[in-house]
Amino acid sequence: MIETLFGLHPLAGATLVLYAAAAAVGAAALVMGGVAVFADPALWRKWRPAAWTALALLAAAFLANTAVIGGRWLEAGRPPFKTRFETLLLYPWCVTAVTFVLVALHRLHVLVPAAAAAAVACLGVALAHPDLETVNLMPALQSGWFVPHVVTYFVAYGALFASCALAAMALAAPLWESRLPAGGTTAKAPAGGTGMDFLTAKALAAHAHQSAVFGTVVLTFGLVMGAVWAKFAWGDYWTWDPKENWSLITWLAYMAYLHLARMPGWGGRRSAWLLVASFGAVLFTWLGMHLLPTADNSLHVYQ
Amino acid sequence: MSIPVNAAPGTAPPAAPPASAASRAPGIGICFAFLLGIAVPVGVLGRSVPAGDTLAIPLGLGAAVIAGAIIPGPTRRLLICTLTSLPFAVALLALVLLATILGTLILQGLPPEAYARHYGGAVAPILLGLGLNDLFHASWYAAWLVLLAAALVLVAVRRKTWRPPQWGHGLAHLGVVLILAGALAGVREGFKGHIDLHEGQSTDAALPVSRAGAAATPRPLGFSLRLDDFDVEHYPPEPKFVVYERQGNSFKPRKAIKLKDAGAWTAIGSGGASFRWVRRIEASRRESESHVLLVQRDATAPPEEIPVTPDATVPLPGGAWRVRVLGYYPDFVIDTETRKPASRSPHPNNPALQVEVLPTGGGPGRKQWLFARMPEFDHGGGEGAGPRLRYRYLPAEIPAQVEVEVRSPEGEGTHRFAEREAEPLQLPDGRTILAYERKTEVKEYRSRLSVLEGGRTVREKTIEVNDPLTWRGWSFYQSNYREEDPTYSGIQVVRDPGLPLVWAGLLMMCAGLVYIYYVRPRMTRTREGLPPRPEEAS
Repeated sequence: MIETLFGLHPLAGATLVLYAAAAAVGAAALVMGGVAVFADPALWRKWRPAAWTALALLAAAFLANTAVIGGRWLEAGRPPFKTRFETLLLYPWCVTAVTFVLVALHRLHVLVPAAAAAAVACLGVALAHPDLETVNLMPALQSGWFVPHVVTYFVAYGALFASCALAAMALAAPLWESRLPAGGTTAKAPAGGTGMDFLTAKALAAHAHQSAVFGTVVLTFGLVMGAVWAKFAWGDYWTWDPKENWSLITWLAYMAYLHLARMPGWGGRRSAWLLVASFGAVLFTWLGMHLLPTADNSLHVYQ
Repeated sequence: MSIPVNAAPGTAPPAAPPASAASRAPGIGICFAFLLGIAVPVGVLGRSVPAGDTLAIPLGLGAAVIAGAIIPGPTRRLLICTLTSLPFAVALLALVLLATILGTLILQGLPPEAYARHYGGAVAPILLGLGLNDLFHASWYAAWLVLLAAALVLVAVRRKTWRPPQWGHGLAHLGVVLILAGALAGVREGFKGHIDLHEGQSTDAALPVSRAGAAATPRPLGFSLRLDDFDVEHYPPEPKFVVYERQGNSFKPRKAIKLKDAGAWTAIGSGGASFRWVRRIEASRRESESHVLLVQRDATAPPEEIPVTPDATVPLPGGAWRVRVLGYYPDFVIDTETRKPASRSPHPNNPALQVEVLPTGGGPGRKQWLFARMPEFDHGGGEGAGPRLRYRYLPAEIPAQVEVEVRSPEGEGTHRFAEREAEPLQLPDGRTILAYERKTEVKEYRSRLSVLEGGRTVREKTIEVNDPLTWRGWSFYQSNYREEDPTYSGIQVVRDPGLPLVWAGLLMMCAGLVYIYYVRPRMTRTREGLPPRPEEAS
């Protein structure tokens, strides 16, 4: 355990510990908030420091994560976005960045434990299957499109994670919704109250939709950059490569969501389920390509 | 066109479209059934069209749809209502999605007989009959994409996307239409092929990429292309030691130690072994190659080294036996025709000796084969009496070597790895292998190309991956090299008249999405005197 965490990549192990702390404190803050809603309104005062502590821990983890990526960039002498291991270091960074934006814009502290838990999962998998060495970039990857394409995609994946988590919470919201003070959310927080508001299903679904819209727009940019890059590198903007196909499948799923969410009867829980399911396509496109029987013909499968 | 349009989506949770539009639109189930129903005849007809033009039927269908939506009549309203409805959009997106998933689960583009092998005789005819073996080029898949384009055009018209509030939808929807149109132009009018050149060679034609082994006739370029120079650049080799551990039936890499970090003892395996790098031994040269027999008189005695030469007889230690070298095969093989031992080349790739061990006092001897690469293999050695023999071949050229020290509970010693293509070292624990690797990876390869017209050079460029040359609509991409053929360059040739449409479509799609979700809502709120915060949703 200790060897796995700190053996090959000690800084990444420390980052994982910080993310785990943020997840634990964030979850504790959620529980306190839950108690406040259900039993003791006095706890409204207590969860605020807990929620902000969770956010501070997430910020510390984010800085450590930045150092992990930056260090690897310097060590490898190239952008560290090549291998599955390296993207597992990048993704928590993107999820956390998106979470900070959503906390700043909408006080969505409720995302903090979810984002931190996702980061723990990524770093856990990364450290259990680390790269033994830094690999060189093959000629096709030596392009100005490499960094923008990958980073754009992972920012989109980060926003789509947020939409999935918020949609899942919207699906769970009936558990507490009836207990919320009248009017629901931020408005009823105590004086100066920011932070972890127990939101209504409607508000959570709206935020999930916002994140999905942002994620889909950025996903489109990533797809377009990939096509342009492929044209310069290989002469074709589209070759029906399995990874390309799955990026199309993911894009089609979110396009279908954007249309379906506007149909009568599809705006609420069904849309939320769709967002959760569509995120499965994101994960599969990112990490599942080696499972495909057609993977041998792909230029995109992580070795 | 006076049919009501759906409400523009805000960034808030979407509002239901007006009831009148919703009530006239078909349900998703009907749209699914309609699209699947269309796929069947298109698929059947598409297979019967000669010359493999799978696009003829889908394009005809698209033309019929557009005509039906223009020509006044009872079908016009039905067509427009259906194709521009949200359920149709969702059903079409979902079906293309599901078909694309299938295309990643079923192996694509194999020869027909391979499908029976992979999927069994019962399933293979179904896959082939439905075109699932080449799904992305099947006429029914193309038909759905054509219907998508037709529906998007109708949506753009019906929403009156020339009006500023609808610009976003116009850009996004027509952007996809342009991409599909560009792709169609590329498929119909474009060309994809390759050129194989060696340094100094030139060509004025490219060989098309042919599907399913069809005969390919070269396509003239209208100018000449000459390869002036080709070079492959490698990353500096980074020598390293790699520790492999047995996991089930295979060995998995567990640790990689760069040579420069290997000076200190490093633990390897779980049996308490460790190793360190000691020194590099420069390549050297002997006067000539030589052959040594390792003679072991009994199981306990250490082996003794006896130099031998082909066709000579030498006494063995102890005086009881002599050995005669019957033949030396530097590159031993069994000839497939004669079924007799032979040497494939004069290079010592697989040195072998045939020897005869004879009693000094006379009597019958025993013949046996000895292989330097397989010292434990002693064909014939078990028959009859006499000492056990192993063969060591000492080449004239001694390659550079890397020496390591290995310590384990079983003992310690040194081992030398050849700097190139070293044999790995198996540790006594039986689970761990230490290998020395020195890969040279390709960093970049580039071709200096000249374009010649009328014998005159009109353009020169060095191309590499990610940096092609374009001349008169032809683009030349660096695509291949051969380590064993250093003057060869593989160049992909593409001519795609649809490309400007595709680029414009991609740009429009991005701009349209940004306009729909981030520009238009802010404009609306600003006009209404509200702060531009579309995120206030609840």
